[in-house]
Amino acid sequence: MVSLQVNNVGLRYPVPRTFSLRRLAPAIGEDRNIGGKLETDPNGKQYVTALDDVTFSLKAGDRLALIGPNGAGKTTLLKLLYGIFKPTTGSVTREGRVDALFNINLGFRGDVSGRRNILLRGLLNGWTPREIEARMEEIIEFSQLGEFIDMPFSSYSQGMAARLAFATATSFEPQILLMDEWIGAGDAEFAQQAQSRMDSIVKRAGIIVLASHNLDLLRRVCNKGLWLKHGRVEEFTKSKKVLDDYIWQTRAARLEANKAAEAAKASGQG
Amino acid sequence: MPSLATTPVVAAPTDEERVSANMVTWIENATADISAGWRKRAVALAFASEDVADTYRRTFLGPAWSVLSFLLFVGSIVLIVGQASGIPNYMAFVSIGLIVYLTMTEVLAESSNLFQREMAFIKGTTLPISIYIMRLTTRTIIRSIYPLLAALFLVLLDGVLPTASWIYSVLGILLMITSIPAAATVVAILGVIIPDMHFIVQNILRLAFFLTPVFWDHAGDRIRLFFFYWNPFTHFITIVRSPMLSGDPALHSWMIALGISVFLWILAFVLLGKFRDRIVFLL
Repeated sequence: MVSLQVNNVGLRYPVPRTFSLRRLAPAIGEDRNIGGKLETDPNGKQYVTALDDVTFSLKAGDRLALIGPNGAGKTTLLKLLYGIFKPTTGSVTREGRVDALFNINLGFRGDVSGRRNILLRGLLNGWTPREIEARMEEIIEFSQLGEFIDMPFSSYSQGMAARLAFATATSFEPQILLMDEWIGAGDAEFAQQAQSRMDSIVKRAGIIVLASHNLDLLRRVCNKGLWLKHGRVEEFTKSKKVLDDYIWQTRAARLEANKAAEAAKASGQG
Repeated sequence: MPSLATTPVVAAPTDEERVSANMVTWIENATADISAGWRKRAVALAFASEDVADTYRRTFLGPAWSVLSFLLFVGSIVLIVGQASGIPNYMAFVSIGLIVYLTMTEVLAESSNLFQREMAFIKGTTLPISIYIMRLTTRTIIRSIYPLLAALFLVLLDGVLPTASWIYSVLGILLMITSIPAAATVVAILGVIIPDMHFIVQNILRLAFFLTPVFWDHAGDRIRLFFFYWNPFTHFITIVRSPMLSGDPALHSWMIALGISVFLWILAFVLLGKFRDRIVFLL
């Protein structure tokens, strides 16, 4: 039976202190796309707490909407569920095969054929050569590349490249599917096919975790919601309630900010 | 702090206990990573062969380039230093020394920023860290085959014919190959911790070519003797070269090279176990 259990998961890691003459420069890298709280311990060592005491569990049939502002830990949580990050505290128990739909353009090589790229990309996803071989023809057909499949990847148009990446990434039978934003690909014509492929994947998958800022999409797809705020669970329950609360709070916060701005303006003028 | 709440109330472990407990965890981590990597060796093999193909793709001569550049390298040294060296079978001497040296230094140079170059994969897939080490090891070995054949050709051309003691050389090459993953792991992980590692290694290697007996022998000279014995490269070169040229299995150098290899493997296990989950955050 497919299930996903996350118990008191925390992710806390030291900010790398580099041995550098530029010691005065802030230690935290600007390009780190991991948000979270920055803490300094008495020794001056800095830590980022990206996730703190996150607990939830999903069973077969659940579609989880992951929401929260930028930097709340959505992508970090997805990467942790996938296995790229190991939790510092707590545990993640997965029953079933986990597939992820992020980074779908990673690892394509310009100098080799589309066919060879399907193999390389499949290997990166953790599929066996036999599994990839079994899906090969279906991927080629869906990507509509025709004879181009034996041409070097660098000769593809952007649309063709996107179609191949999409066709490869979505060619599995997912049990637990992780998505960072809904993915689509290609021109208007292909987008329609991509859409129906995504719908059918969502229908067949045992469990889905979908992070997105598109609340209408989340309403349509998901039955449960998890709202992350500063790496902590703000709310985890039915998606309708979580989304409503989230919208309510975001609006309230925006209203508050507007009011404060107006007040500041007024006092500035007065 | 949730972690405090879950800590059972027992006597605090001593430093000694803590270190040995950590050691066990590290070794377990490293073993888990390596066995996961071994199960997925198809990934390492596929990407290594792409790397090799990439090296000479879009060239006319292809891998013949690696033979040609090796021959030119040896040829130049023999031409300039040969007469003055006083070493018998100088061309064979340089050929064997150079192929062993170049293979080892390619590994070190490439591993010093290996994880930085693999960053997109490390941050985007769940592949074990050992996959990247296997990929590097495989491509280095494949790339070395052509110059190795060129070296053998030059050895035979110099009139050095195979004898039974060449078996020691084969064992020496095997020892070098088994040390490659360990050395690569150590240097690659240090390369993540120490940001200047890439430049440190580059500079060491540039000097090492002159301080390693690739094209010279110590001949009793005091300064040369120092760099001869206190240079780890010397012993890996000697265990391959000496049996071929003089029939001497060079057991003293064997013990040292074996010791270095064991030491590197222990260090590799400890570093891999300690840092494997942290590398993704340190990049």
